[in-house]
Amino acid sequence: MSETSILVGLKAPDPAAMTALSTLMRISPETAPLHLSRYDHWRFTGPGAVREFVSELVSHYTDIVNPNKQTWSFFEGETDPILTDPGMTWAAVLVTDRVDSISENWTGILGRRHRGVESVGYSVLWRLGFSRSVSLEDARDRTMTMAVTTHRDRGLLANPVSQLIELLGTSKT
Amino acid sequence: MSTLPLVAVIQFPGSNCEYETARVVREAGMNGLVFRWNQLSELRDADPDAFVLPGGFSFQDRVRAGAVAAKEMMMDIVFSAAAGKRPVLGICNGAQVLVESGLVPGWEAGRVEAALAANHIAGRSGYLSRWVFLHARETAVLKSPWLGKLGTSPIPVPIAHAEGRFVFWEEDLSRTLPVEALVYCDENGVERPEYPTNPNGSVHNLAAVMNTDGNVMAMMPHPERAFRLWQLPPWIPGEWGDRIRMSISAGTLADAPGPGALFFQGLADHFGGGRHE
Amino acid sequence: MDLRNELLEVIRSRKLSMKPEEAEKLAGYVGRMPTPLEFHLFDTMWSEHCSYKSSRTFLKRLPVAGPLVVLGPGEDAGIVTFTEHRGQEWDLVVAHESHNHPSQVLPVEGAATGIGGIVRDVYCMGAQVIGSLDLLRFGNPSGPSGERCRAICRGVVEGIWKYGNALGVPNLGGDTRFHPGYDDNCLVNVVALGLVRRDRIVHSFAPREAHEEQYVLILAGKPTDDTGFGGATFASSDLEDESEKGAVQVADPFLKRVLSEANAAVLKYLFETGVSFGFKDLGAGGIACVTSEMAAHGGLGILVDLDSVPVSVDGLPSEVIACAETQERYGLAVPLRVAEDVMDIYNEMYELPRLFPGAGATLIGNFSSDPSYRVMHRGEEVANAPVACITEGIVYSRESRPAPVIPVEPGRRPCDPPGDLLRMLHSLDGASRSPIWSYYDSEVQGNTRFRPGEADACVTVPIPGCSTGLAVSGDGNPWYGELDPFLAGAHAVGEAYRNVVAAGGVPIAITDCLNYGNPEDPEVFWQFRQGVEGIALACGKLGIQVEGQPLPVVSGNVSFYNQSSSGGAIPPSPIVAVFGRVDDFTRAMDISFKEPGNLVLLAGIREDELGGSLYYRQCLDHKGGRVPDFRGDLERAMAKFVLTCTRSGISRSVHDISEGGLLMAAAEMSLASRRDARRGMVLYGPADDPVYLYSETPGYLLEVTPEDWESMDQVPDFVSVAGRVTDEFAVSCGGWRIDLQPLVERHTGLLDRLIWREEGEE
Repeated sequence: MSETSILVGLKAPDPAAMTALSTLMRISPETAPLHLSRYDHWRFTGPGAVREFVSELVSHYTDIVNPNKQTWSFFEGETDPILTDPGMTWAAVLVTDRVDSISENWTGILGRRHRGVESVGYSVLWRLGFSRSVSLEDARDRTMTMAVTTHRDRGLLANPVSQLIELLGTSKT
Repeated sequence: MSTLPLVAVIQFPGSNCEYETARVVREAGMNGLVFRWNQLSELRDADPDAFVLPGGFSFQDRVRAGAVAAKEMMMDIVFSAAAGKRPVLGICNGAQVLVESGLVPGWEAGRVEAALAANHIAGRSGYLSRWVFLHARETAVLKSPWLGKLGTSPIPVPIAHAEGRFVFWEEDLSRTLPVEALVYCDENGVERPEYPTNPNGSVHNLAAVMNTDGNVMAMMPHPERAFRLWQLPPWIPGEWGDRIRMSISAGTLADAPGPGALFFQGLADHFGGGRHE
Repeated sequence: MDLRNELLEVIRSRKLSMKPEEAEKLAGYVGRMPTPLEFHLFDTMWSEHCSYKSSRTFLKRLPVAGPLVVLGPGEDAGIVTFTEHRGQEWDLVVAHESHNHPSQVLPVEGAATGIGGIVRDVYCMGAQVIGSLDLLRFGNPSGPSGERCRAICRGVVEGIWKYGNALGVPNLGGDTRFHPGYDDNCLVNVVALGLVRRDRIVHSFAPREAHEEQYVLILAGKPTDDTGFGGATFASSDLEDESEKGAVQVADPFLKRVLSEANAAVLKYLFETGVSFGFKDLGAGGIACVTSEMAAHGGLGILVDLDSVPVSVDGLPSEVIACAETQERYGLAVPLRVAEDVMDIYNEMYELPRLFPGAGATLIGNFSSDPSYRVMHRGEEVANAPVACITEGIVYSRESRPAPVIPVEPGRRPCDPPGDLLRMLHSLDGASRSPIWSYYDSEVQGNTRFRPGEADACVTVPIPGCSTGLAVSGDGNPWYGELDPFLAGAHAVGEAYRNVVAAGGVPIAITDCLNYGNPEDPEVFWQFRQGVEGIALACGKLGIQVEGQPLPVVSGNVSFYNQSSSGGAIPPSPIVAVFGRVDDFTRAMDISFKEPGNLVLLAGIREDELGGSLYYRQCLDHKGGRVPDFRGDLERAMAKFVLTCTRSGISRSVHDISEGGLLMAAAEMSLASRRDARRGMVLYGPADDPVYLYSETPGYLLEVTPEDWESMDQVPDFVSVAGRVTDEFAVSCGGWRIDLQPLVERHTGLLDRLIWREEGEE
């Protein structure tokens, strides 16, 4: 069984990330990040879900990646270059709907068409960049605080009632 | 100075149903005014009797529908009015704002205890426009200022949303009945959890949820789009379909009220025609 | 190097679409080597998309004036008298555009910016936008390019809902068709309509008062970036590989919605202050076009300061800042004395800078009586041209060579109504469009009487408290187009016209979008000319609102170069939208059968002219040759008959006969009935005549009570009784009976399964 994940980002500035960042700066000016980016995260699982095959899928379905507006890369989780980029302390959260038609539909479409892909999972990855003076632990705490919406004025990026929130390890170079 | 009850319709950046919503408030015999998101002092001075958060795409549903608008300063005013038992209705995007504000279900006011998640329909994702039937829970009719005229018979109303599925924490599922306001059903009032009777996979078939006091209600369907009988599609089955046919032959279609009017007439009755003391 | 070679070098290195002689003309205007900004400005202005240089001569064939026309083609949108309410004159503002090339490349963004652009065209006439229509042509989703066609279809629909729904403009339908001729080049035509009070119409140029008082140009909206640089030229050249699409802009419906609210507040302020002003949206050619045109059409010059333009990308060269087609921007020409107040509305009241970083309103230019167009950037003059050359157009005379199709009719025409109806209801063009419509918000604003599919045209009641309704429909049949480009033009008008009439509307105006291949190809140019002639003929015959006057074409667009790199042009695709006035909206008619026992009248004759028909295509796998003739006098007489029945309250339901003929129309009227009160129809026959059952000769089916039928004193000779309504959910005739219930699911779900669920052919 293989599993391959990719991240898909907009070439142009992502308006959702812009709005999210300015909202965080307003509701939690103390802890807000300096940088915020947003990616579609797709996870392909199945005996055939190896990198070469996923590349092929991605070039095939412009609904997943349209090269005219998006760029994509394989995502290696904690050790991915986007989380180890020097200059900032990075943290990321992966937000997944507990029940999700997008994942189910693509699982159905790809499952019918391509043997070897058994499931497709769609999530959103938010990447937060803090000043280098912020410690790893602190960046981790801040990220979860800003991600998990508990009250009107606390948390923004995910609603835990309907979404799973996974904190990806922080790293610093 | 008008002595009619004042209903403030809140315009967030990206709202798009504010004007027709204010219009139906006025047609129901109240004073309906639109307040822009940053007209904070104007809204405080007006001291409205009730609030409606209209439909639309506040902040383009960025991050999550309703999540950003819930954090606007305007919501502080709505929040205190709700605490003071003033009636508050969120329609569609307004419902999403109320849920993200922790006003609904409001077991602990201000805490986010529910979600309006993406529609869950087999083989389909994204926005769905559709006419559905719903009826009110009996307990809600007694408690809610918006449901007094509704009774419990099924009414047709349209939905138009991508994120309208009510979700609660597993452990709260057994205690939702007191906050259940409106439930999807068929034209005979039968509740079925399957699409299309339940158009988005909402838990307990919920179309609207209120707070424990009943003064705040978050509803996904659009009553302002069913305010007049002529807004209903010609194929609507059941009692309301019969009403359309009779109204056409009687020549009264221009002014005949639709089922959505019941919500606003109910509120007008609740105020007894005047402003709050 | 001599001047010509130097010019050629610029054209090559800057990828301009301008011809060498056009570059020479430009050099002559400015009296020197043009600057980069001048090159790009005129490259846009003289592009086919903006200048109509190939088409203009022939577009003069279309009737554009009339007693009800307030403003014909020329500005951003056309205006026609609509109704009077409480002493105010209300006018209908309409615009029609194509966004074909961008949608082929980036379907979501292409379709979204298509709506964005057309809606801005209507807003900037001072109107409230009350609806939009999308006329979509996709390739064969089951053909060799099926996968791409399906993804484009999904993407276009997604772009329409994500953008259109958020704007708060109801989607009033349109049509969708599939044809292999669009495999490499989809069509996305968009129509927007609005209402404006006669005394609140705004024009798109600096007003006369600007000669007396200092006027300035305010730029409002999104900060400028480099998107869409070269967009108009992109729209006017062959679609090549996928490398060109940097030109597609990114639409932002959220900013647009807030901006529209702010614009409404600004216009209100300006009218209340009593100052004259001009207002224009930024489309092709961006700041350069809007500033030069607002000045030139006002008989003024302007000095533009590019350093004051807010940008979201650093270091952009002047020609990019000036010519990029960043979305969501408007230009306003106002007196200097109110400029601060106007900018405050955008920046303070509506907080544009907070809601979108870099957005807002800024003063970027001063109008002057010196008739030159000047642009300054970083201390240098980057453009200086006489304004006269901006208004002066450019015209080409193109060669045209007739290429008529020799009609070939099928040898045998077996008639198997149960099988034929099934094949037609389950075909790409015959299947229900409800999977598409289910993504659209057709009800926002609260004025919609009939949504897409309920009646032949969508009907809205746009002025609260006023009984006047508006019926709108758009059409254009590519299967007719490839057989007879002339009749395709006439029938595009005729079909949309019948839809409006069936819904109870008196047609008052049309818009068109003429989609063709490369006009430099004489046969393609002939197709274009034929289409224009067909539309002109139909408009000349079909006017009924004002007796003896044609139906005016008040706005439109020409889209050439719709073809693939392999050179195959799309089928000739004239697409027309018709707008009708419903005097009493409560009398507007839907298509659903109502009462068993009622009679179904047939208005119209059935002729043996099934070329391009759904029956030939689906049941005989043949295109045929003889397209239905256009019979203008009969068409007008039928419309008058139907409208008389509907206005007097006799009609119970009305549906026009088009694709699939009479049998299909009867089935559709049955399928539209209440699910708890199903209806069907008994046809009186003949039961096995393919001409009677399937011919697409124009006509109508009308449901009336037997009493009303008896009491009609004068029945035109083209009216007959075709059958009666029953309480069985079936269509039957003579020896056959077709139960409809088993057909419902496949008819309504076909497009969903094939395109969205990717479940393949059945």
